[in-house]
This record gives sequence, structure tokens and C-alpha cells, in this order.
Amino acid sequence: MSSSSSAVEQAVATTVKLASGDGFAFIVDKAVAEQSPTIKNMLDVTRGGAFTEALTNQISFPEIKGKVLEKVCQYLIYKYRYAAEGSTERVPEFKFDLELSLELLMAADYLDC
Amino acid sequence: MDPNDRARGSGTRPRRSGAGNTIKGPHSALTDYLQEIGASEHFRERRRAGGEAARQRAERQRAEGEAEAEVEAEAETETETETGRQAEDSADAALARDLHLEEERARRGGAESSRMAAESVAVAVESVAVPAGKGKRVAPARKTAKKKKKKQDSDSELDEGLNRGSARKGGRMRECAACGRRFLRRGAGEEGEEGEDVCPQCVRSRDRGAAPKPSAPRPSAPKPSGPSRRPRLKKAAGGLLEADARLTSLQDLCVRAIAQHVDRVDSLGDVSAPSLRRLCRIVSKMRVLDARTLGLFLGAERTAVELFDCTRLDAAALRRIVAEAPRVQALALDFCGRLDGAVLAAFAAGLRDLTRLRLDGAFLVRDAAWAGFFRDAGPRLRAVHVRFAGFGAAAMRALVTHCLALEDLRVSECTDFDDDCLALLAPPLTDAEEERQELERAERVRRIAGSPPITVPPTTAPPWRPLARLQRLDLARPHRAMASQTAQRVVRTLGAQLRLLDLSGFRDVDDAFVAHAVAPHCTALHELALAECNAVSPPAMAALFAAQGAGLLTRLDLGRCYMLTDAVVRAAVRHSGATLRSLTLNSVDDNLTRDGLLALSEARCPALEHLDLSWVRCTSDAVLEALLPACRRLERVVVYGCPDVTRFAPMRPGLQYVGRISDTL
Repeated sequence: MSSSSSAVEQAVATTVKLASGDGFAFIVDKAVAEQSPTIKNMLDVTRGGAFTEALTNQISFPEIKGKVLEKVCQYLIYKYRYAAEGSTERVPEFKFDLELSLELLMAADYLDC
Repeated sequence: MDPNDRARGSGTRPRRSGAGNTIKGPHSALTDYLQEIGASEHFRERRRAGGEAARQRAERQRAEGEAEAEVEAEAETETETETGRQAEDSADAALARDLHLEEERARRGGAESSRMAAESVAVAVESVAVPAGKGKRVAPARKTAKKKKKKQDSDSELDEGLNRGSARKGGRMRECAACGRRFLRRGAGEEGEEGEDVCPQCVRSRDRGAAPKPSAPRPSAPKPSGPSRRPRLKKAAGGLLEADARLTSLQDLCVRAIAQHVDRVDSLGDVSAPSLRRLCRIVSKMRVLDARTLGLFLGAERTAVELFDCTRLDAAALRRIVAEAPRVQALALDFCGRLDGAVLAAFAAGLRDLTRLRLDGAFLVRDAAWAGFFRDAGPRLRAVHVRFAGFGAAAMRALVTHCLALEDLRVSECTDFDDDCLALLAPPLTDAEEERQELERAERVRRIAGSPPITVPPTTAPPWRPLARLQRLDLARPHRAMASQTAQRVVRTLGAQLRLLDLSGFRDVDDAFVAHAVAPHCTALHELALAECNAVSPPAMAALFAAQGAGLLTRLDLGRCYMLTDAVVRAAVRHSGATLRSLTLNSVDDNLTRDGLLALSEARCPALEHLDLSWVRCTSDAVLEALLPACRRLERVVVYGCPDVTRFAPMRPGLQYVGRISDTL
């Protein structure tokens, strides 16, 4: 029991929960989430006066819809995976629907990713 | 060595000791940018003038230093005799001791005393060399000492400039050759061998014999060396440097997708106005605002159209604004270099509801076109902002005649805007008035006599009426010289109704202007900008604030008024401290001291949100620590060129520092 709860605790310590405005929540690794400088700043505990988000590891985006946030999370994983590649030929294209593109643009501009 | 080179050079390029100081290059965007934020000619002049003074001071101190060095040399020679002068290493040991001594001095005292120490080292070495008689051994040592002295000398000339602060206490950021980490190398220490940069940890581990540990997370791919190696994601203050990610960002991808399929993107009805504005900003930032994406921002129901980058919109595209958004009331076009007179006339004819217009960079529009525009659309206009356009006398005359409901006027940085244009804002001079009265009388006579009224010949001025509703007047940075007399007349006429007055760049306005025009008449000012008005002496500026009693200023811009003193700051704060929200003291460096800045904290500027202390070298972490508790609403502190503001400057949530040296790269 203790081992599984400590495993859970460990998982909690290294992940963040991103909550959208319409009730969806996405749990991603912290390293992945920190590909977005905005999120990285929010989660930064070394600043003088840490944000609540840094202490609770939960960030809510009331203005971003669930579908958009899902795409953003996919992009963050894509970026985390491919950002260190030496060349760009092997990196696959990141696809998304056109209907999402406007809101995705606003969300991307906010998260600066 | 240019401060520009230092800013450019302290990056990832590996530097050989001493050689990095002479890097010079073409005039880069960084140089332009530094000039824009205030690293101006004034500082270079001052440094040239200061160089002379510094050299004289160096002479004096060398005399003093020699006296000190003699004492030291005696001490050195005493230890020499103790350890045995004939030993091979004695000169080296002495030199090592001297270098350590110099290093100590450098750490303790700052560049000046290290210079003294270096000179004393050079003298001591010479005096040691003579009794030891080991010319061969000492020669290379003397060479290093001399090289160090030369380096320190070039530093000493810059001691008056940016070098004075703590960041330059004989230290330089170097990149470790072993592990790639950056470290601060002070003076002569921490060198593995001559010329190789190794961080202290690697030196220690190499001495211990272990392999140097690489720093935590390194990318697995080996970094290519040389010019193809680019800096990783670097976020600098205010987002000034673009992230050089190899992956296209999500914003890029989205904008490209939108731009490609713009015909299909028609669901913009439910996007709110602020979001639309943000979208436009993003699209402009990405340089994809062209004829295809323009349609996103126009529509029959739009009342405000604001396009931040019209470089890719040609005249036909701009005319679409008239066709597709005829009800627009506020039109703002930045970088609209392709807008010409015909399009402007189309605006006047087609946009019947237009009340606010902003055109930045419409340099193709000539005077006559402006005049025609004001004749047609003038009576409706409430705000006109023009920058970098061919706005001259004819345009000004038409504006003054027709735009009588004007509340907000900004004509800045227009090449044809000269003193006569400025004079049109004030009542014309008496001889013209007489001429006009003569004409009126003649007109009346003719009318009574029954003959058809004569047409007013075009050379005489039309009847002048003041712009009675004008509340905001911004004539910043004119390209021609403006006489102080004219400015006085304008301010005397309009001063009482002005809420914003911006006469930045009026280099000739003098004390009389401030004392006789601004002080008595501008009593309702909320925003005052007198940047670069260097002919106004500090006492006059202080008297301006003192004379007006309690003021209502929310924004005060005194940037580049190099001579201002602490008394001016104190008077300004006493005048408007309670209401001041934004204060700019960019480059006010010659006479300002800590006390002047601490006056901001004493008077407790509770509303201060934005503070610009760039290039005011006395700004330091300690001063900021005193300021922060007193200015509780402070959000943004701009400190370009303040070497004493380090990364240990006091932080608090909501506060942002822009331009700290430690923030870049």
C-alpha cells in the first residue's frame, strides 16, 4: 500500500493538471507542460511569491475550451519530443482542424508556445 | 570598446582573452535598438570628454600609486630576500603574489583600485626584476603585467561610463571549454592554462583527476561548433529577442493555416472585439496581414478597424476598407507606407462616420492630399494622429480651418512640419491680422455696393479660429527646428484646455517657455512630456513644478534631459506624487544621484505603475529596495543600462523588470 501511494505521490509531484473552461482536465508531465513559457512561469517555485498554481500543480484556463486545450497538450508533447532534434526533416507535421485554428491561435498566443 | 560590442559579445561565442575587446562590426539592428532606448550620442560625447579627464586623473593616481608601490616593492623585496633571491621561482612567486594581491584589490575595491594595483604590480615587477637580475625570467611576466595594465587602461577610460558598476568589477562571463557552462571570471584567476577558459568546478575536478561533470540536461545530439551553432531558447526582457526554436511554434502553425484557408474562415462573428484586436496583432506580428487575410478584420458592422502592419496591403487592398467596412468610426493604420493621396481621398468620401484616424508612416501622402482630406472629412474628425507623413503647411492650414471639433491632435516626426505649421496653432501675428481686416473691410464695402463678392486671393490667411476643443496636443520629435517663441504663443493660446502636452524633441524651448507659457497656462495637465528639451535648465524645470502647487499629472516624461538634478525630481514628486502613474527619467544621468531617486520613495508615489530609469547609473538594487515599499502599485521598471541592477534586485508578484543586464541571453 505504502509503495503504491508513494508512487502516486511521485506521479502527482511530476505532473500538472490543466483544466479548461468547460470542465475538461488534462494531466501531463511537468516537463511537457513547461514547454510553454507561460506555464513554466506559473509553475516556478523559485520566484519570490510562488503562485498558487506552483503549489497545487493545477492550472485552470477558463478562456480555453476543452477541445482547444487538448490540441495544445498534444502540441506540447510534440514540442517536447521533437524540440531537441538536430534536423527538421524527420519531424512529422503537426495537424489540426481548421475550425479550431482561430481559438488555437489565441490559446497559443497566450501560452506563447 | 563600444557598449554595443560588449552587449553583443557577451554571448556564446568563445573569446580569447583580450581579443574580444576589439570586435567591431557593421551597424546592426542591435545598435539601432540600443540607440532607440537611449544609449545615445550624448554618452559617447561624454565618454570622449571624460577620457581626457580620466587620463589626467590616471596621471595623478599613478603618482600616488608609485608612492604606494614603493612601499609594496619594499615589502616584496623583503620577502624576496627571505625566501632566497637566487631561487628560480622567486620572481614567479613574487609575481603570483602580486597577481593575487591585484586580484584581491580587484575584488575589494573595483576597477579603479585594480588599475592602481596593476600599475603598482608593473612597477613592483620592474623593481623586483632589477635586484634579481633575472631579465629573461621576468620579461614574460612583465609582458603579462603590461598586457593586464593595457587592458585595465582601456577599462579605465570606460570607468566613467558603463564600466563603473559591480557587474564589471574585473569579471567577464566566459564559457567553459570543458563543460560548456557559463561562469564569471574575475581578473586573473580561474585559468587552467594561459588563454583557456575553464570554470572553477572543472579546474577543481581536473586537479582532483576526475572527469569534468557535464551540466544537467544537455541535448543528446552533439552541438556543432562555429557559426552554425545558435543560441537555444532565450527569453529576454519584454520579449525582445525572438526564440530561436527549431520547431515552428503553434502560433506560426495556426496563422499559416488561417492565412491559407482564409476564404473558408468566415466564422468571425462570435469573436469579441478585444480578441479580434489581439488576433490582428498576432497576424501583423507574423507579417501575414495581406490582401487575403484582410477580410478577416473587415465587415459591415465593424466600427473600429486597427491594422498594425499594412506593409503588404497595396492601394487596392486599402480601398477595400471603404468598401467592406463603411461604418467604421475609428481607423488606425500603422506602417501604411503604401497609402497614397487617392486612397486618402477615398477614405474621406467613403467613410462618413469616421471620427478618429491614425496614420503612421503614410509618407506617400503629400500636403495637398492632406488638405483635401481635411476639407472633406474635417468637421467630423475628433482625433487625428499622424506620424512620419508629409504633413506640412497646407495640411496644417486646412486642419486648423476645418477640423474645429478636434480634441486630440498628434503630428509627430513629419519632415515637412516646421515652425510655420506650429505657428498656425496660435493666433496669427498682427500684421497678417491687419491685412485680413483690410480684406474684410473691402469685402463689406463691395457687398453694400452690390457687386459680387470678391474671392479671397489664396495668399492671404483664412480667418483664424482657435481649436477650442483641443485637449491633447502631441507634437513630439519634429524634424525641423521649432522656435521657442512660437511654442510659447501656442501654449499660451491652448494651454488652459490641454490635458496632454507632448513637446518632446523641441530642443530650443528654453526657460522662458517653461516659466511664461507652461507654468501659468497649463494648469489642467494630466500628461506632460518634455523629453530631450535640453535647453531648459534644471532650476527652471524645478520652478515649473514648484510654481504650480498641487498638480494632477499622471504621466511625466523627462527622458534625455541630461542635466536634470535631484531638485527637479523632488519638485516633480512634490507636485504630482499622489497622482503620478508613469515617470520616465531615461538617460537623466549627469547630475542625478541616489537622493533624487529616493525622493520618489519619501514622497510615497502610491499610484506609480511604470518607472523608467534607463541609463541612470545610480540606480541600484538598494535604491529599488527602498522604492518598492513606497510604490505599491509599481508594475514595470525599465532599467536598461543600469549595471547595478542585478538579478538579485527585489522582486514581488506583479513587478516586471525590463532591460536588466542579467536578463539578456
